[in-house]
Amino acid sequence: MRNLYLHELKKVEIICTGEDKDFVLDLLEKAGVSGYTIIHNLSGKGSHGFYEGQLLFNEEDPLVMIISVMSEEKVDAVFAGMTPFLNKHSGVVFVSDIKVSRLEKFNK
Amino acid sequence: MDLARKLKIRSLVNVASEGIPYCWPMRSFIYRNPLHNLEKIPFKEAVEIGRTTFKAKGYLSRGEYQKIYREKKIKKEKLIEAVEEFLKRQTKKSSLDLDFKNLVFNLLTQTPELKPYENLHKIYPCSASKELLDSLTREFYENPKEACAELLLSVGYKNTLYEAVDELIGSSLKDTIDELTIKSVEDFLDEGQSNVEMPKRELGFFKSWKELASRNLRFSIATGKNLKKLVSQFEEPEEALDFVLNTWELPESIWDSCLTLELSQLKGFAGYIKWRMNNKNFHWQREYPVDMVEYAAVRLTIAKALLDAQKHLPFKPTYKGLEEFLTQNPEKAYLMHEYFSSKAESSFIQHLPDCFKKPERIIKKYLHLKSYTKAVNTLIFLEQWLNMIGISLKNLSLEHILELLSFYKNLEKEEGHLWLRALEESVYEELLTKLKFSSNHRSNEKKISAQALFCIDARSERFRRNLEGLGRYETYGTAGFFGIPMAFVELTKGHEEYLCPVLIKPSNVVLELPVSDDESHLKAHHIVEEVIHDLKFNVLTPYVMVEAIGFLFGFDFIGKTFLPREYSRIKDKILNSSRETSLLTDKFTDEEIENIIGSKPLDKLTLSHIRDRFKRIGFSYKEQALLAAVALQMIGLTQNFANLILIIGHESQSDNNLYESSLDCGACGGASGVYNAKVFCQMANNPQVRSILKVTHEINIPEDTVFVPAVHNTTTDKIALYELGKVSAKYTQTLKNLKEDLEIAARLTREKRGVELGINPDHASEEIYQNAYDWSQIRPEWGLSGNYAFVIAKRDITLEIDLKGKVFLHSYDWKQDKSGFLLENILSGPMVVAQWINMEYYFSTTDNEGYGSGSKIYHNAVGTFGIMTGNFSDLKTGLPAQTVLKGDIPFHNPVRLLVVVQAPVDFAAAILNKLTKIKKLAQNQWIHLIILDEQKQNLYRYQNKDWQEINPKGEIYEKSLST
Repeated sequence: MRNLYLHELKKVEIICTGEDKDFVLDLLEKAGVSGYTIIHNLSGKGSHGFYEGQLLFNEEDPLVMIISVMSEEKVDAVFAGMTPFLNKHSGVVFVSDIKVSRLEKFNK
Repeated sequence: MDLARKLKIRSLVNVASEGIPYCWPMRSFIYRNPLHNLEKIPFKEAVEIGRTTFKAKGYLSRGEYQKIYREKKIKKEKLIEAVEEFLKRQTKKSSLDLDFKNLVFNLLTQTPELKPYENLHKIYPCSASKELLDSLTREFYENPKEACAELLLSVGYKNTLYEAVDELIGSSLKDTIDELTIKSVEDFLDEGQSNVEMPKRELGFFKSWKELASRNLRFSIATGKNLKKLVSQFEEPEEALDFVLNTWELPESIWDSCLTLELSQLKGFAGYIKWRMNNKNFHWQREYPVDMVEYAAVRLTIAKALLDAQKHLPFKPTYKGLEEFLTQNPEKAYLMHEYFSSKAESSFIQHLPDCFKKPERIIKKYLHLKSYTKAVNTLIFLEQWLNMIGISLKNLSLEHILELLSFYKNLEKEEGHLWLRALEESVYEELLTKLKFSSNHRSNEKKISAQALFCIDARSERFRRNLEGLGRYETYGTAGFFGIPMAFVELTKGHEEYLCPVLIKPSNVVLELPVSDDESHLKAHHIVEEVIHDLKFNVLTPYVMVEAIGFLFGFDFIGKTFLPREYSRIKDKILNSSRETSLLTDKFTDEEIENIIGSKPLDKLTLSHIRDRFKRIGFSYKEQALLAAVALQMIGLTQNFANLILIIGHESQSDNNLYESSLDCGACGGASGVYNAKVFCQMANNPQVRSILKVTHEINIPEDTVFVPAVHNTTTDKIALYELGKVSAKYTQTLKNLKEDLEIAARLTREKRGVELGINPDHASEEIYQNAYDWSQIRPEWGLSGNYAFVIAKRDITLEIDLKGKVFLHSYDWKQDKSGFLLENILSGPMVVAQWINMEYYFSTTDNEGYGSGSKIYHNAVGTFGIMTGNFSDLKTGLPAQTVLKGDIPFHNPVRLLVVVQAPVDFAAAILNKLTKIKKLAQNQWIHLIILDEQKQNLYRYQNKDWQEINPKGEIYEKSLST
């Protein structure tokens, strides 16, 4: 059995509207991020008031969260890419330190 | 290129392209607000941005509003109210003792129009004193330095760099850049129409264009060797963009607005590329990918090469070069700009070019003459204006004149909006004063033969009224996809179409399959059997083997994998022999899927891909019950079901009409609503689904109730019923009566519609049918022209009003919506679709060339995806003149959507409060919201972020209007 080691990486969580999801995903792809998780239909409260989660016939307005893991250099690139977008839009980017056991999954 | 830089450039282009509206392929015309991405700011401001970015008008001209006013569609009292509103907004207290209300009202309604035209002095004498004229002339003196600074500032605000150059030196760089860009994109985007294909398209737009640009003669003629040299430097489009923006020395702070202007130059092509980029599964996009970054890079590279090739430019072809020239030679630049941008005072025009080299010879004289002429024109205008209320110009001082001019300037800015408010309130009042509060005693009393669900589409309203008028029917309005968001694979088309509002990307696919037991299919049968050997027995028992082919068509990926050679041959064979079709709406079990694909010698990834595709097919019974339940609850039909319930989608019919899909169902993604109707019926008639409906959703549909799919042809008003074989024989007589009544209702509807189409009601039917088949007919129907309101309520409140096919009607019973879930979804789904339709009509009317697509007469299809004017233009977006204008007068009254919700005010207000986007739409005045509260017997209007009691007539609301 192989031993597992923990490697330091960054977790980037981006919240945007469903309408802007494709832009963020394109940015991550172009940054060479190997994967991501999308959580649809977020609800909650922010500076623009309460956001309702699920709407049956509208996927553009509800918020989504896109979670990805990457190296620090990529975080800088993704952040540079998000800057013009966030200058014009509401949206949130969280970056946090994490440790992962299988580095190869995130370094493709 | 550094990754961070690259991503920043991509993001900049993305942000810059937000204002560019999608241009859908012409096969599926989708309504959308052309200023959709500006909905986060107030309507008025967005219209202004549209004016500078797209050079398109967001209001009609005074003359056009006057025509509507003369037709009495704008009521005098509403215009006066709007004038009063405008005057209230004037913050500066006037020192002039004038009857401003009268002054403004007279100016607006005076015909011929009174404006400070440039050549008034050639027609009228000026009676102003010399002193006044001199003083005003001094006021109007232009300063060449300021004019030059203004030109520089226009770069990134309303001009691209080369447009500013065009204005300054009289070149036509923009036209050449447009031409070369169109040539490039047209070749790349071609969908199989062109005989000679652009080479290497599979490399993507930028790379294949790079190859072409370095060899193409057309580019060499325009740019010399510049383009070839330039493109050889770049591998990626981001590099090209970065290079051009940097070498043009544009301040980075205006990069995004410069890019927006760049992309707006050909907003049709840019909008189509934007659509393709966001529809990655679109066949041509998968084969030949293109995105906005590539498009911007191509356009800017062409522009840079062309600008560099201008040898006669008096300055370096950069922003700084322009700035230097303007600062160092303000007088020369001013005179050049005056001359080349057609601003020059007419008597001087011919002398100006001679003076460019020595501007000092003429500048003082020119400035004086220009300001003098302007002063004379202005004073003549003011005199005529003041005369309207019996005031003489002589009584006013220079200060007064200047104050009046500044007042006029404000009025000029606000005039369009002022007229709009007057028109809106006039139109809305027609509806609001006639609405009735619900009564609860109607339908139970009489025997209903059938219920019919129509689309909310405004065109359904007339038919519904006529059918209801026959006394035996109850009708409902709902979004015409009947709550079934589905991707659909039509047998003959072989690709997925999304039959639902474009707000959603459906995750379930419905397939159309041929039904046949014809022996002649055996050969095809064998071929298929080789690859899907036991399909027949395991999966599609009711169908013979060949039906599997229809299924394969939908997934050319699978088709090509299994049948690389035989694919198209089989397809032709099957299509030629199939007659009846059926819809596959149920899900496969995992076992069935494994049976189909299990034994194929395919790699893991392909198998998993195919498995995923199979899993998307159909809906589980639970899903079907949920969709049917929500659809029925939304319209308040959960009990008292009639024996026959018609589910009526709609479609249009015309020949040789590139805009046919714009007349189809907006809620079905610009397609016919017939398949959604069929699928809904199939689900709602399924006993297993009904049993879940009963147990889980407490909706008990009687066993002998049958849902019948139908389609309303909005061009001929004919209703076609389908699947009548499933209707029990005991309803034969009911069905017979129903068919007759549908014929009567159709005839009545055609007669009413005929009036608007200029057809004599006596032979309306005949002519309307003729129009539907006439390939030269440019206006087979008026479509949704005239739409102005969206009513979410029980039918009672509008039952007695003839809404003339101009109002969207969504049935809704708040009593069945305890949590507000249904209202939330009506507002965030169907209402949004209606708002897009409304705005598309609005802007196509206010500027048919800018936002609409101009006259159909000159339209040609290009590359099978878009429409051009003549044989060379930008792609046309928006609606054609024939849909919104009658001659030169708007047939469509361009007003914003009035949304009326029937519910208790506190309840509805709470729901709206939760829907941030919808609330914003109302706050920014893209829609007007009104709640009709039958408990409080009052109307409430959303104004200034609050709900205010209103009465439609400006008096205490007359309760006598209610039941």
